[in-house]
This record gives sequence, C-alpha cells and structure tokens, in this order.
Amino acid sequence: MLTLALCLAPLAAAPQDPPRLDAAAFDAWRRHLAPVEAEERWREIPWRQSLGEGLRDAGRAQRPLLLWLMNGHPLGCT
Amino acid sequence: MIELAARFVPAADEVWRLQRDDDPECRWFRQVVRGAPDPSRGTMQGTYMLTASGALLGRLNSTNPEHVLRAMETALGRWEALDEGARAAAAPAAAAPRHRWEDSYPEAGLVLERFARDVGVSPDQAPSHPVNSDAVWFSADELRRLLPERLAVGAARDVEEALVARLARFAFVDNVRGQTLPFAATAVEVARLRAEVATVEGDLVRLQLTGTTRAATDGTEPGEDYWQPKRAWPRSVQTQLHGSATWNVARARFDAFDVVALGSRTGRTTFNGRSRELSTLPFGIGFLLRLAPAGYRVAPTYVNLYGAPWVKMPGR
Repeated sequence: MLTLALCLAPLAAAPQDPPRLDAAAFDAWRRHLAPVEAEERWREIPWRQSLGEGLRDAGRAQRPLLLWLMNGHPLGCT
Repeated sequence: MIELAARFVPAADEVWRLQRDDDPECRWFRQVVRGAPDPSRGTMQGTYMLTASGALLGRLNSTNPEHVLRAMETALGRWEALDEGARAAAAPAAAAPRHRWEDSYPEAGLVLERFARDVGVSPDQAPSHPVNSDAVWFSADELRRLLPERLAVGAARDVEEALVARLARFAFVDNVRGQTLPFAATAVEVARLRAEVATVEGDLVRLQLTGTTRAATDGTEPGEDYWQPKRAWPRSVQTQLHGSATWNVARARFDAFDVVALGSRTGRTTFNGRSRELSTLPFGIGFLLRLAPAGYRVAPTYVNLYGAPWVKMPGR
C-alpha cells in the first residue's frame, strides 16, 4: 500500500484548480504561453515549408535539398 | 547544424500525406526514396538529402544530432562527386502536387499561430516545456463575421457558434506533448466568443474578446479524422478566453490579435503523451492565439475537417 501511495503521489499532486484569467492577468499569461527564445531557435534555419518549395529552390540555387519529415508538420504541430 | 544546413536548401514537410496519398507529388517522392510509388505501410519520418531532380544522397531517421550531421556530411560528399549537369538539374514536372492543403491558404483572411502549454495556477511560475504550435485559419469572409456590425465604442457581437467551434474542436486540443485527435462537432458543449469595441482611434478599432469553450467526448464518435484510434479515449478541454484585437479599417485586416485561453483538460489519446496521468483528474492547460508571421503558410492540422466551402478538398 505504501508503495502504491508513493507511486501515485507525484500524479495526485499535479492536478489543480484551473488557473484564473482576467484583464489584469492577460499580459502575464500571454507572455507565459508564448514560446521562449530557446523554443524558437528552429526559426534561425530558413526552412521552406513544403517538399515542392524545397525542390524548386534547390534547383534554382543548385544546392542539395535537406528535407525534414515528421508525423505532423515539423514547422507546425507534431 | 545551422552552418552545415546553410550548404543545403532546408525544407520541412508533413510525412503522413507523402507516405500514403495518391497525389503525384507523393508518388514521385516514394519512387525516389523507396524505389516504388506504392503507399508505405511503415513510417517515412526522418531526414532526407536529395538533388532537386530526385537523386537520393542520403537518409536517416534519428534524433541524434551527431548522426544527422554525419549523414549530411556524407551527402555533401556525394553531391560534390556528381557532374555539373546532375547538380544543375531542376525538379521534374512529375514532382508537382495536384493538391495541397496550403492551396486553401486564406490570402485576405486571418492566419493565426496557436501555442499550447501546460500551466500552473500563476503566470509568474516558469513556463513548463514543451510548447506545441499549430495554425488556425479564417477566410476573409469569416474574419468580417468576427467584427461587430457597427465599429463604435460599446458595439458588440456574439460570434456565431460555428466559427468559435473551430477553436474548440481543432485549436483547443491537448497536443502539448504530441499529436492528438480533434473533437467531433457533437463534442462541443460550449463555444462562446464576444467581440466588443473598446476604442476607436482613426482607422484602428480595438476589440475586447471574451468567451468560453468546452468540448468533451467519451471517445466513441466515429469519423473524427482519417486517423482512427484503436481505443475510445474519454477526454475534455474547457477554457476561458480573454484577449484583444486591432482591426485596421483602411487595410481591412487585423494589425494585432492576441487571445489567451486558459482552463483544464482531462483524459488522453493514443499519442499525446498523457498515458502516465490519472485520466479522470483535471490538469491546467493554456493556449495562445496570435498573428502568424508573414509568409507562414503551414496548414492547420485539421483543416481537412473545417467543413468550410473555401477549403479545397482533394479531387475538387
């Protein structure tokens, strides 16, 4: 029983009352939810947003294409 | 990585369509990397290096940056070994897509980025990681239906439920840690958004936005997506909305749009990383909607389910 209680403790501690939102707290929440600098570093690479766009620009630039594919668009929701 | 990537043209794309669909672009891609155009049963996620004309220089599926760097260097060596004609060849016509969801990009509409993050009770706490993004699109006609009919201080509009339901079904979903399912239309219990004119200064009309949403499902609704879960996962998301937007009358567009949606979630889906939680308890979740950067055209995950006449479906 003690083992079960210890296993569940971190889970049981996490749920909580919903956070409060009003005009006074809006700006603070907006900043809190926006990506921080480290979460936006991927934007430093000039990713083309599709295979076709990449092929077109690779042909024009005469450079090889580096193509990153994921379930869900890597530049959107993955 | 950034330096080495500069020797390529970097591009990113969604793999499910490329590995599965019958579009010429998808068939061409599978022919190039698998040697056959047939749909792939296994995942084709990963990093590929190829010429514009379709010669495969390398591929791997790894999250180890050292492995990716080595593969990129090897591919560059193969590129240098090609003759000039092979390096100069353009993409073939066979690689052109017949349909992409980006074809429905609403040029004169409202294009939003949506961020989702787990939250505690106070914004003063350090943000939890990760954050996940998505997009939300409204057409030019739809964005005008977000505005009060009179753009005078105090004028207001209760936005029609169908437009707010787009947020509740597709944007306010728990994909903080990974892909999830949308809510079916029947799962939306509350979808309210009120837009009220707060100030008018010349051509700039500032709107105050407030609302609530709630969507809940026992997970059994059919047809939520082409991706059908193997189990019914009960889940819910409820939010309180607050925000502001600045409508530019002269330019007929929003110059600013920021909405925070805060609330709680319960439950899970197959791949959204919540399998270790107690499914019946509520957890805090927050969403931010803001204008997408110019040129950001990645389609919303569930644009295929918008049911809007301006969304071009395959074969139409």
